[in-house]
Amino acid sequence: MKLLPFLLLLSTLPLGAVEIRGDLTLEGLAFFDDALASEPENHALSAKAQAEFYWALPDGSELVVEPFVRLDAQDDERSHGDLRQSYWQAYGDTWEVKVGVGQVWWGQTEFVHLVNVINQSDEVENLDGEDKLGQPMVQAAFDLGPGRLTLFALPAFRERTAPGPDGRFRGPLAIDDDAATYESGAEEFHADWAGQWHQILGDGEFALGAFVGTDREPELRFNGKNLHHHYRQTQRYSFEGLYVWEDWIFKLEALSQKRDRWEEAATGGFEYTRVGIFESDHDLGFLLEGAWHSGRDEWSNFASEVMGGLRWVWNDEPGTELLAGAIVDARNGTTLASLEASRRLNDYVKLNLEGRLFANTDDDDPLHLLRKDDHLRLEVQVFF
Amino acid sequence: MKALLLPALLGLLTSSLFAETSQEKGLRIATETDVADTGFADQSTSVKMVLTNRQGQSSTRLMRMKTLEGKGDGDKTLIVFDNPRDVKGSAVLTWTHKIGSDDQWLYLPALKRVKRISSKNKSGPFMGSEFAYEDLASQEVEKYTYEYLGEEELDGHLCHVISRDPVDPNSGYSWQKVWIRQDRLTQEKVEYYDRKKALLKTLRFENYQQYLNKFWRADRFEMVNHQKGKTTVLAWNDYQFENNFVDKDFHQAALKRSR
Repeated sequence: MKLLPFLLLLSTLPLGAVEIRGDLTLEGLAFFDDALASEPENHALSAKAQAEFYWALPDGSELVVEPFVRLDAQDDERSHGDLRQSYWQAYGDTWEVKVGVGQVWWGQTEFVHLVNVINQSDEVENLDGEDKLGQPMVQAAFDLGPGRLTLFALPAFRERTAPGPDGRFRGPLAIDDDAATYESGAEEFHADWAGQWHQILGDGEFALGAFVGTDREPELRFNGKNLHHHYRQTQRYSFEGLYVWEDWIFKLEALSQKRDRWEEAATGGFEYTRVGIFESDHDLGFLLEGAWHSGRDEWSNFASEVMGGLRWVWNDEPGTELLAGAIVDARNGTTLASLEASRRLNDYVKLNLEGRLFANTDDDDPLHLLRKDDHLRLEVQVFF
Repeated sequence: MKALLLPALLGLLTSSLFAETSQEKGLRIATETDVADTGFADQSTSVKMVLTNRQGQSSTRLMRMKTLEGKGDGDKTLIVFDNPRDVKGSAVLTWTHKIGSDDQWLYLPALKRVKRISSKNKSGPFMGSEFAYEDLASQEVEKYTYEYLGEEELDGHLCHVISRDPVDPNSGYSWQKVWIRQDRLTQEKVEYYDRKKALLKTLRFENYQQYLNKFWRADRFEMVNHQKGKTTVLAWNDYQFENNFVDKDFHQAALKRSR
């Protein structure tokens, strides 16, 4: 929509050969129960297109443009477009500069992404927090002795997406995405800053991160009429570490954050992989992680959770994989069980299946609002 | 040339002064073979991998590979996948070590995320093929113990035949039998024996070409899995040397930029 003129403009620039990769995906969602609200239906059909265009410029720098668009038959708020990435990048032996819209992943753990702060979650895409909106940024990285220092200037903020009145994965009230409020008078144009030091130490590696600016995690507020997101200012200092020992990978993320007051949080655990189980080519991975939060914040999802999972990789020609897991709140027993499976049909087509169940949800747990949203999701992904 | 001559002279000296055991001779041949391929500095190549099952159905993987020769330690390699399309843009970075396990990272373009992976999982199939990760990893001398088995003619060329036992207990093999052509010190054939010492796979190296007047590279690897009746052929194209690669081209930042 807004992307089209931009792409047309790009196509007129003398950029030389372009490399393209991407996919078209059809998605079907089926819910087992009626929604808490009256509007949403028990099935949903949707299509997504995403492509990355890459140009190597004559001076050795690079241009990457990655538009994304989804059309959803039910939820108007889920029909949306975004520039996932759109940046110019130059680099030398010991430095790298990126200007534009980018995506940056911080963190090591599998279930809770505690320290991943640069990009906002595109929550209408999936609840797992792994789909991110493009973040405007100027990024500069320098190799300094044993590690790498990366600095970020983040001049604009992206609001978290939320399902509309016809969408699932919400409570009885939809979030009014036109009513977002901010602690800062600059609202979404508050200048945010971040930095990261990353270092590899033999079989391990760690990173220290700092972030000052608009909290990516909104506070849910009610203004008497509507639910809306409120974005506070925050200071965050984070640690992430990983250590490989034999067939084990140990992971830890820790965070100290000041919103209204200082809070601490941590998540960590291990992944243990058995290869060639039962004299086959299959790998079986066991995941166990925990999450802890210093003061139980009403809207913080992960305050005292235990997460377990099983990753089964066939290592076959169609690349069959299965990930089964559960997140259980150790205090109130609220459980989210999840199953993800994928398999290639041929060089261009892949099938993904996802199932999620919300069980035993406690009245005070944020997941209680999703207790009627048990679902199966089937995706047919066509790559080009 | 000095690097080549010295171990050869040393070998000559030791074998004339002392009776060389079969273990020593096996190690010497392996070392000479390694030394003959020392000094290539770097290389890049693209690979077409064709997997064929028992029913004769085949599928194709495409990837590109860059290698930086290790100085004092193992080589560094970066593999970028082009096909099948769902893994296009994914990349694996490996820092091979002569002693101990290798360091390995995977880049997932869908998540823009670099993940450290356990390189202990070396016996698993590479991309669903009949090659295990360890078959394709940099073959450092220190990764095996050796024994000289004798001489044998293969396709009209006299070969050293040596056995090598993986040092790493996580290897999928009990031992390997290797045919090395005597006139140019190139591996011609490898038989892989599973943990129960039964013949599992045979690898043949075909169509060797010489580069920079020194380094031999086979254009075609054919791996036959006797137990499963499956075959994987690797066709190597476009070998390029003297790329002036440096360590920075094999770092995490380069992994994220790889395409």
